[in-house]
Amino acid sequence: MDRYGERMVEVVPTAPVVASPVELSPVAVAPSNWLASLPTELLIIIFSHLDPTSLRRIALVCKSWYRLTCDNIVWRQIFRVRFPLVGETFTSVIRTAFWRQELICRETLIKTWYRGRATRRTYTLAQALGQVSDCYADFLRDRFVAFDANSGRLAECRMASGHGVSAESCSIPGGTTAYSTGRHFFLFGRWDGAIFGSLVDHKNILLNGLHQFQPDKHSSMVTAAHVCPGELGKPGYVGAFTGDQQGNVFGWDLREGKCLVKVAVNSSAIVKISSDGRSNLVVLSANGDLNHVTGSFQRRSQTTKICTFLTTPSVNQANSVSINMLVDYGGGNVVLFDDLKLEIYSFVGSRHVLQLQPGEQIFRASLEENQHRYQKKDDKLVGGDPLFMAVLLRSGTVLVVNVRETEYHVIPATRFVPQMVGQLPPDDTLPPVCAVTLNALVILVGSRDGRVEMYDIVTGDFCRKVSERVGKRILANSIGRAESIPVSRILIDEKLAAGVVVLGPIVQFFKFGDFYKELENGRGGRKSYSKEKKRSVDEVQTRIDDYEYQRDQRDREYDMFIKYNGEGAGDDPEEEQLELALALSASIQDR
Amino acid sequence: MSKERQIVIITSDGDRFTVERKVAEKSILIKNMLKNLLPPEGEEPDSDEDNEDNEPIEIPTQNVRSAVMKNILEWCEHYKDYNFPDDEQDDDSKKSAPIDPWDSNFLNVDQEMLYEIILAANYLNIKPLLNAGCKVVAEMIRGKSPEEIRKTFNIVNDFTPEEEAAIRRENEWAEDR
Repeated sequence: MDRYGERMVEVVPTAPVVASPVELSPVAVAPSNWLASLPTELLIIIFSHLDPTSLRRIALVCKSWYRLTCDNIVWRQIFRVRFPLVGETFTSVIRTAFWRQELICRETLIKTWYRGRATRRTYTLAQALGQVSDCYADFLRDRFVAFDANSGRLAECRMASGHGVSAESCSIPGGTTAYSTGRHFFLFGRWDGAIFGSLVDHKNILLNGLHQFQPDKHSSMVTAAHVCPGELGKPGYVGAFTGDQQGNVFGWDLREGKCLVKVAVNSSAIVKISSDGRSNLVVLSANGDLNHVTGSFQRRSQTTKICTFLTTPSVNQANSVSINMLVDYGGGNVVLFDDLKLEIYSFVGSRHVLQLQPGEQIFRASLEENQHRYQKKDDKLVGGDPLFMAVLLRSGTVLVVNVRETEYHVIPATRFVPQMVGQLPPDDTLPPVCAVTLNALVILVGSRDGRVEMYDIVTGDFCRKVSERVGKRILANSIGRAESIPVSRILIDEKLAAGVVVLGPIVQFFKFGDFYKELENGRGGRKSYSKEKKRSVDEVQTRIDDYEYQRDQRDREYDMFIKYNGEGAGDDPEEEQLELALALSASIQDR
Repeated sequence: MSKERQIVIITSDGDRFTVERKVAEKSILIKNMLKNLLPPEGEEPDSDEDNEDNEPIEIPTQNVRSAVMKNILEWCEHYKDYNFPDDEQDDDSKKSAPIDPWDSNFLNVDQEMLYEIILAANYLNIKPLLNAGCKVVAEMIRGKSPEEIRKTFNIVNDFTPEEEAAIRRENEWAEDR
């Protein structure tokens, strides 16, 4: 024991990453266990060439190596040698403070995402709904839920195969002026202030139909609604918020339909609401005020405090409807963007502006596809726990931006032009790249003609094709024409290296590597799968379980804005959204 | 211009190797030494040093024996006209790339020699050779069970069975994936 303890003390001190010449006593012959006795700095270089499986095993070889595997500084160096380009700021794939875990998991994930064998399956939901406007994917339970806001229809199927499609009609109440969908709950607010809710259980049956929340209601038109992630907590938890034209925000218990929180946030109409369902509520008003309300939304006795009051100079009455809002709860930042600018406001009052080049226009932006934004920023994590966002420009260029940047001028960490941009003819209506999603490792971009490609998040290099254009027969069956349609949504699961691409009513499922195969064959992965599955089911009951919410809401509101501008309104039989947009604009003009 | 001064490397066991400057400078250690002793290559040496011109520069390397030095110089000779990128930052992809076949063949030596080459490359600061050597060792570890690794490298298993089981459990987070 002592012998090793002694040597560790001698070996551990922070050796430089790059080996520098060291003075060695004149060595003539190699000791028999020469490998174990190499200086740490040389072991670092050797280990940096190893694969994840071997890295796991070396802890079991001997005590001195086991001690090495416990030394975070050594593993930090191995990580740096292995990933020289990743830099100081990056997202930890497993939210760990230990470099060894990060290295092994990252390497494993990279292997699956970059080189895992691809399996794809394309199917259509056209028999159930016209197009997918909101969707939720549960990768572990192989379940895909899609909602068509135009027809009010809801469809569910097995995600990987597209089999077992069941559809329901969810009859949107007439006069709806705002709505929001969650994984398990749909919420509608009407012009007269009444709120309706509908529970969707995990088998996707609309439980007890649509019911009106009683006795509370808003005294004026409902202008914004938000179903929180993890909406169905325990009774007494706030699961959704609605805001009205007079600036009041109500928080609802979705199980009992009771109003638990009433806050008079502002004097003007509420435009956007967002909440993590725990302690933060962010409200954007038509007059450009951005309010941050803190409270304890998971307790029976609700307390709230409007603690920050920000006025956003760039938001005004004229454009507040077209503003998009993304919230990073963990880091305390609100991202507001429209076509021309993107600004980040922190809860503590600072403001950061994304530097765009002249003439550049923003089309979309999405936050990382993971739970990081709901978890408090932890500086101890490897990579410093940033939160990245992909910003899609109309030109097709993709920017990767750290939302938790502390400089006033936010400079993109990565900027690249996807290959597909050059292959598409110019078109005024839609940009060449129209969907984007990212995780800690890669960015997936979807093109106007229905292709999806994958790029490295650090270098912006092309990695692989994710999906090809949809076959003509499926297109003809789904939309009646054989022309390609744009990608509207991409959902991915980082750990399983799988995802879903949505194009109108068509769904393409893809996966890299063999996780699902192990699952189907009941070999190998089953044990960990059933553990994961149980965990997942538990989470559904109790915990925040919603990757998609922010993006869905934004996309929906973007569509609404298009309609508000008169584009695309003709082919839309459902007039609720238009109604909302018109009502909102009327309310703004009244002021 | 006068004839280039000879460079002689003296090993720990007293052997003398006369080498070209280009070859010797593959070692950053020797390169830095020569920088202090000699004018940059191609420049006329100062006239008052002319009388020393014919005297060879001797570089002692106490840590390297001649059998090892012979191998190292063979490697340097092979790569004397090849410029390795100074900056190792851009070789993310090279990490997973297989070893150069020539290197692989060159390093196909017994473990003892490999060990000494790695140590010497580290001492003489020849990074590409050091990396190649480490890669070869990594290849030897790759895919082996802990028991096989111990056997290959003569490492004594100093764990008690209880300790080993405990570490296995500790490692489970990684096996789960």
